[in-house]
Amino acid sequence: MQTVIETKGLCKVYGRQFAVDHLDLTVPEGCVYGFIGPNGAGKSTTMKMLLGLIHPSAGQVTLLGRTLTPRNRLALLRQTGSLIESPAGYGHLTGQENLEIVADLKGVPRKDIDRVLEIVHLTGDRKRKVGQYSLGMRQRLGIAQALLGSPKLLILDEPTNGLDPAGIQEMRALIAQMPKSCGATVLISSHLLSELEQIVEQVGIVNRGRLLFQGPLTELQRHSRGDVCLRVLRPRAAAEVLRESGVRAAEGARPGEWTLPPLREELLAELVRTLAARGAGVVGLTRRTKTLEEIFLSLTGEPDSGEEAAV
Amino acid sequence: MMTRSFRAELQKSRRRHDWLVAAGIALVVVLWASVTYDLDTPEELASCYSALYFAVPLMNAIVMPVGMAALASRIWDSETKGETCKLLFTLQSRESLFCGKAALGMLENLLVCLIEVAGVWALGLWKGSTQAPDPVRFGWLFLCAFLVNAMLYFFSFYLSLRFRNQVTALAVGFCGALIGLFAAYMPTWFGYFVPFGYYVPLNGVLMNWDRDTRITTFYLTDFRWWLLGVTVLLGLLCAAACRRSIQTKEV
Repeated sequence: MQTVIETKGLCKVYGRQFAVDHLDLTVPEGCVYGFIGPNGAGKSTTMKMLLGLIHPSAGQVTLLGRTLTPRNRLALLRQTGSLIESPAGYGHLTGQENLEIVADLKGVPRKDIDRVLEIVHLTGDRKRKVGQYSLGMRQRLGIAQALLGSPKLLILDEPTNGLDPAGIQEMRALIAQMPKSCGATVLISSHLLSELEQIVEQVGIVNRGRLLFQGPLTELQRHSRGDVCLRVLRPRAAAEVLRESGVRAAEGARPGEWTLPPLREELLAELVRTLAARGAGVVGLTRRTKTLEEIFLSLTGEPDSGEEAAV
Repeated sequence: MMTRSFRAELQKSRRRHDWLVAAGIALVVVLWASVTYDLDTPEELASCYSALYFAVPLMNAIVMPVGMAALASRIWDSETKGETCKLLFTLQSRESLFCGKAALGMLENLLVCLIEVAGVWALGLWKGSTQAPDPVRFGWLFLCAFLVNAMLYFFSFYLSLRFRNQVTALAVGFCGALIGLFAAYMPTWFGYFVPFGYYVPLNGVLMNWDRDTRITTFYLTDFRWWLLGVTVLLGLLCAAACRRSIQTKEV
């Protein structure tokens, strides 16, 4: 698989503060790559450097197999679509007119506008002024602008910001289908892992400008496995089983409730089988997904609530 | 790329009514100038065009600082309101964006000056001027108005680039108009230090008002080419500042 984006030692320093700290990002072709981190982690700064909107303090950016330089920047960006922070649009012009400006500047035939409007479901609103668009419609117009000319790479910075749940769902569906429908590789950022879990295949976790994790989502999910909440009818029998198994279980707020560390699924199944056999009366078993902050702690090796090694 | 950029600026100006604003600015100047002096008696009509050559720069000094600020801020405000800089900087060079906006601004300035000059010529005809219109004087009027307007346009454009709130450029333009008007009634040398009101010291006509006879006489004078050179220099400095501001703009 080829690499569409590659950064080596990418840094951005403001004063003495590293906004991006030696970032080595690798985005494979044809995937939806989730770039995740809390607010202020350096996601937008990284994306702006990828687009040449701000100059890196150090490091190198390779886009579509070519090193990004001031000379080839516009030629490379012509094969790239982007939506950074907030959607752009002239409020006094219609959606169609906004797209005409972008198409002309990109050197893309205007007939491509029909295609992108169809993709983002704005065909019916093309003659309305953008000033009258809802935020969701403006976001979709932003995606349409990015899609003009069928770019090989889409860079979308928190495209679901400010959208209502229905809008988020619609935007997710739209982005998830892009590798298949448009043949584009998508780099999408968010501060919520849960928001991207359903659509990304590869993820990069960034915090304080540093890349903490990069790889397939399945691998990250191993890190994101959280505590297990166990509820039984007969606490005494359960306590005996838990003590014998060596699991570091903490008693919950109510009698018959325990919080277990993030056990592997095989071990969990074995434990439940034993509890049932000893008549503990298991009535509830809920696995909690870690928050992004907890995943950061687990990735950076900070103390966590419990580990499988305890089993 | 420059042609594409200019075409994009024309597309953006659609429904923004820039051309209407430009025409309106010029018409205000001409109409205001037409009522400044009585042009009824044969003596007055014998110096009708001289009176207009004198009145129009004075009106320009009052109207243009605000007018140019209005045009410049409209041109940049659409980028600020639409948050389009990040998108544009991925589609075109910053240089071409500056050139596109400068070209559109100068085209609007050209329209203002052409309407103004045509208006003065038509006004003379309408009033029945017995003084023949002098093409050289018309050319000077046009040239001075265009170049001082251009300087003020780039100055206002720079303010629009530096301050997100477009009221700043308009407020400075308004203050500039007041200072320019004040300078018009001060000794000529004072006017050299007030670029907002350069229309007046560049004026190729002098006026004498006789208190006893209450008669106003107009004298044609030499052109102050050196001051026009200073205007061009200041305009270029303001344009360079705008260009640099776009080049270094953080998005």
